[in-house]
Amino acid sequence: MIWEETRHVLAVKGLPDDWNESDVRKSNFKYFGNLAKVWIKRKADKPTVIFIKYDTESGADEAVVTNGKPYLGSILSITRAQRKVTPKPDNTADESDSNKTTDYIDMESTSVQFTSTPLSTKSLGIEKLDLNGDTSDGQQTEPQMSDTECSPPMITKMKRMPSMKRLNFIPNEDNRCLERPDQSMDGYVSCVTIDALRKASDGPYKLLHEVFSHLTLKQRFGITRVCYFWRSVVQEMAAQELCVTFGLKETLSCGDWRHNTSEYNDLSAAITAPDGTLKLDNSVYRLAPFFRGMHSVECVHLANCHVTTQALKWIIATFHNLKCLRFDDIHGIVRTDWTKFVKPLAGLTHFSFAGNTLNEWQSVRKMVSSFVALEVLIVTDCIQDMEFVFRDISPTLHTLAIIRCDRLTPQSIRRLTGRNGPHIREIYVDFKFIHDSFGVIEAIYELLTELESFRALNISGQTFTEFNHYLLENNLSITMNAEPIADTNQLFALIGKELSSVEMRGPVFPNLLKNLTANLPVCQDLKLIDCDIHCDCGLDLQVLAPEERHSCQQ
Amino acid sequence: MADNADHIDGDDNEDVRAQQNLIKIKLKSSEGGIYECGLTAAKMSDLVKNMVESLGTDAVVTTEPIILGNEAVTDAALKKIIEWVEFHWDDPPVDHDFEDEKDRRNEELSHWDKQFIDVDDQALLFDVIAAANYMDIKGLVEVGAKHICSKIRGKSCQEVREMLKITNDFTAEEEDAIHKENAWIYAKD
Repeated sequence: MIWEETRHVLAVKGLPDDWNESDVRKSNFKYFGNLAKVWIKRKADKPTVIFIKYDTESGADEAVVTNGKPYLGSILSITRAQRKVTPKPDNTADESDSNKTTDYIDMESTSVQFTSTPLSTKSLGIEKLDLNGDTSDGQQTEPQMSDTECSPPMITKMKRMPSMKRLNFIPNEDNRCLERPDQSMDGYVSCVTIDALRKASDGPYKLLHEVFSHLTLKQRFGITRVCYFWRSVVQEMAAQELCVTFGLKETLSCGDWRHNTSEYNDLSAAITAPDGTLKLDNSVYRLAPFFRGMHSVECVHLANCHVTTQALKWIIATFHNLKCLRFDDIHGIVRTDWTKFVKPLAGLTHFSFAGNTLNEWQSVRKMVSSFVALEVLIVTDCIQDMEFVFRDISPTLHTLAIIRCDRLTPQSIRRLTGRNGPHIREIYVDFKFIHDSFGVIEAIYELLTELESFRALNISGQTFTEFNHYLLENNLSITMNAEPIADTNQLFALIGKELSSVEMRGPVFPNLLKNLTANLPVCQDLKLIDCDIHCDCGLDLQVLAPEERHSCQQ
Repeated sequence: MADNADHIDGDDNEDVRAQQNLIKIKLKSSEGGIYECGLTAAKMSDLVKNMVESLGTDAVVTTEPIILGNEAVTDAALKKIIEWVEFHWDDPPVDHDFEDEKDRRNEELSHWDKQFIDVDDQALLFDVIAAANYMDIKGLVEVGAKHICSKIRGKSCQEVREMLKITNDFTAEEEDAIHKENAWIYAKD
């Protein structure tokens, strides 16, 4: 008889004692893969062990890495169950052994005696196996599994399983032999011989995560060949990556618009030539296993590079959960047939393009209108007429950011209205290079009737340079222009009737103040910050909040 | 004294924290060594902070040491850790706002931290990191992690193995397969 580590079956300790099979099936274990079988071994004098069999190896592989992590108030101990297999027919064991069923045990509670069989520990790549626990009752045989589980092909396959126990005994600096590595970790742990990391109370995993978080993704993958354990950590971290960057990354801005991302996701050097061309030739296909591990990627950022349609197609097909696509000054997809991307990019909710990404308005229009579920659109430094960009835009769009686009006009804002138009609730405009700033502001207020928030920056030619307006709360904070401009109260005349709270920052000139009372009829809270005004300017101090009124009177 | 400590706990005033750091508590390593440390400095360890709070005031003022039983907390490691917290206790609190966090992670270690963590004895280095991890001193764990990172960076797999004393447990075939999978990464190996 011989015991082998299984791939599919895990022995779990630390779950509540009163759990039954359905509790286990409803628990977080279901997220790692389909649970083919669950059975529970309860013993009065030992902790309850729950065996979970996944129908795929990958499910068990993912579940086992949660070993040592807290769950429902206790620390989970998850190990690969040991399986009793019958020896080969030419073994010295009696014939009846070949008909024995396969048994599973929790490796931590049972010690196993290795016998001299053709499948010796060395043939499995194991130098030495030392298991915890008492040695007396290694005969626990529940539950019974089918014979097919221990067929010879399976045993052969075990030889190259990454979870194989390989306990390495190497001398440290003092030439003393390190002890068996911490078995609170999973099957990969055996490779870790870093003395101190082994001692860490909650296992080396947390520390390695901390270390690896300071490496770029490429650097992390660069050390996957060190040992199985490190590879598993690296792959686990790759699976958590939400954002990937391609290109030369000179103007990387990913993450600046409510999109948390990692700084350590740079794949740019992997496939980008020095001239900025993505090298999506045959060599890239070899990266497929690498990318496949990154199944959480939701955002792809292409920066300063030349992207062919084929390359874009490959990226979109590879990261099939894409929700955010960012083009920062890329070239080469002018002639893309965007209708082909409608289906693969149906889940795209965030799209951003900056610079001369597409150099003809038809391309821009077709591209933007092909994103049928778009919710957030960010356009930066675009030289195209915004009227064409907004035409046929998805009705799901609710947030719009237009940054330094000189061809944003009141007419283009009109394109955002209409029966099948979007319902813009949030808008952000950087007015740099925009000539008719107030015309655009007026159009936004008049046409976008569902607006909840409007943020404006770099306004020129007005009494103010920027403002934040939260329409739901009737709240406005505004920064005044340092230069006095004759015509003053346009904005307050436009939106002041509803405002209940106004915060003004910067110089406030007398002709503005004189009309404030009339333009802010319901304002309950007016704050003037760094305003340097005098009370003889004619302002009705009743509109001021008591503390401001007090400071103003002084 | 207890009331005082509790009151101070919720107070960010630097003077008060400095005053509190004058109170010395004792920390006991897994090897039995007992070392004194300022209260504010010691509270940089979430473990110690929780222990002090749960033990209450009497424990703070008495001479009973706080026992740090994890085997990584050796005498040498604990001395290093106390050196670090005594230097950093008056650092401004870390803002975990995303942008700041990103900048902070990219930041180079300070000159002092570089000199502090650059120890010749690698076993001590790992003990310090593991003990800091056990004591839940995030700043020190990060310093250690960054230091290890700076050592890993640019090294080949074999060099990493040699540096961290890791045995290569891949078979030649497995290693070849990984090499082929990610040829672009290993171009310099």
